[in-house]
Amino acid sequence: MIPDDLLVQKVKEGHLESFEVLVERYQKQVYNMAYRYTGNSEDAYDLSQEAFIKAYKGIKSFRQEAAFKTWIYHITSNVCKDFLRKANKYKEVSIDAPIHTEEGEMEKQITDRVNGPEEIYEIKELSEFIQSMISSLPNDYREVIVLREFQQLSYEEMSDILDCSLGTVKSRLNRARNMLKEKFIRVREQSNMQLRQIR
Amino acid sequence: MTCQQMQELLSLYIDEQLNEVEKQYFEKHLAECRQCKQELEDMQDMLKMFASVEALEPPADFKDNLMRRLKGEHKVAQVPYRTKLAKIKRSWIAWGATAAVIVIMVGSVGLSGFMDSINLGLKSESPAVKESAKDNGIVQDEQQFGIMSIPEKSTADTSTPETAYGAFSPERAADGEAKDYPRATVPNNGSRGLDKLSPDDLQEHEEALFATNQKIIFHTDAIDETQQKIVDLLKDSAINYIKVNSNVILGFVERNNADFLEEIKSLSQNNEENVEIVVYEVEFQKLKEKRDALLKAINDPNNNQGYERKRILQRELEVVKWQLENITEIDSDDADLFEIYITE
Repeated sequence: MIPDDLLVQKVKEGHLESFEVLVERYQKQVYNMAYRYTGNSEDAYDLSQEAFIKAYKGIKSFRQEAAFKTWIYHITSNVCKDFLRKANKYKEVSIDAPIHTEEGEMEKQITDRVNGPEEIYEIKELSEFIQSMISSLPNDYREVIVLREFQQLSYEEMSDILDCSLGTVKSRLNRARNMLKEKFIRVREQSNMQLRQIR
Repeated sequence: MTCQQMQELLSLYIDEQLNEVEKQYFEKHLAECRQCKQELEDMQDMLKMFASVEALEPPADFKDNLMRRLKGEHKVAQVPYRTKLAKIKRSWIAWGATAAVIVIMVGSVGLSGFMDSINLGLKSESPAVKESAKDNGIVQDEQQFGIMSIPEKSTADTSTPETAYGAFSPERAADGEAKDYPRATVPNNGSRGLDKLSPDDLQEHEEALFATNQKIIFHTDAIDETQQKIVDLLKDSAINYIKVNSNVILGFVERNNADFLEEIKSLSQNNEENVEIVVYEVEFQKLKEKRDALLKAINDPNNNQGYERKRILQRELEVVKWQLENITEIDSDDADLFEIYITE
């Protein structure tokens, strides 16, 4: 197998085929990362394509002090965060703004999609259930979970990719996992209760 | 250890990130506290559940579609936007390569003095400065530097820069003829040749080296998208980098190119108020100081910088070097330099 570094060098020299090998190597991880960030396959597709395109365009500025893997994850994480930031901005506006109707203004009804007991029945796939848990986390916590639980990265790699200290990575990951654990326990109790009722 | 403290260490314990002492305290508490033990088990169960999720396969057309898009990019990237400027730029790159070779050969003469001479030598392409250079008697007589001899044709025709730099075009430098082009002649008197240029003279010259710059502050809702559009406009006569609150593009276009400004304005959703233009000057000497400071910061062994910080410094250095490389050309009558800040 040709090492990543060598392929990167060839891409810098204008060899597009070497980039194709890198895409082949990392498309699954990048796609999954984007999927876990956004929770849907259409956005994951677009964002992971965008990440690779950015990498290709910026490859000359990549100094190869870090591994290509770290670099492409760094780009993917930024592309996804940017996307979520914009999406959240939109969401915040739509949550805060009252709806204008002919009879005057009315408040929007926001439902919590994660914890409603009737929702639990609906969630058939474990993957979807887990995704709904991740999606309920604030962005800063979501990303450490994505990198650690799905990409299995080390604390050092996470600190490089997210551009924050090891201490921040540790405390964010701990808090994120505690938040997930609370949800996990609550849902488990609810589903046990429902199982008993069915019996 | 309290239960609250235990909560804060659960995740680190699972990942074996605690030191020996912490671990001992943690396990001691765990043996005594049923609730904390339960918390740990819950978290482990949850993580097991996460680990059981299989990774998704990207859609079958993912790679082919991406490569098709990149092939489009690849083609576009090959076509220079402004042929004339692109040519000049390419010749500068060739200059850089030639300079590198000469630096190795010169050895003891010292890099900074040599670079000064290169920069001053290139500067001589601008008629105005060429005049003042003659007055000081430093540029035209390369023997004073004792470093290299520049073929006559490289300074012969100041009105057409592409031919003036023709001797250094990559095509010619790359082939076997390269040996006929500027190369080092190691002076007998070592670095003493440089002494003839007093620091004051040098200072005076470098102060004269500046470029008039236009800074555009561009407000937009889509930073990345706008940046891409502007970079597409400028093609290979641009360099871009990201600062904390904005993306920045440095680029040069042909002097008084009204189309470019119009195009920039048209990107701002038909609202010209989104574009602010500030005219200022870039000084050569200050750029050099900045370059040296950046080099020092990057190479400082005591400075334990993170990956991202290093990347930012490297990028800044690249931008400064790019400016240093191009500034004499920008100062010529051919091009305007734009510094475009894209903010939200």
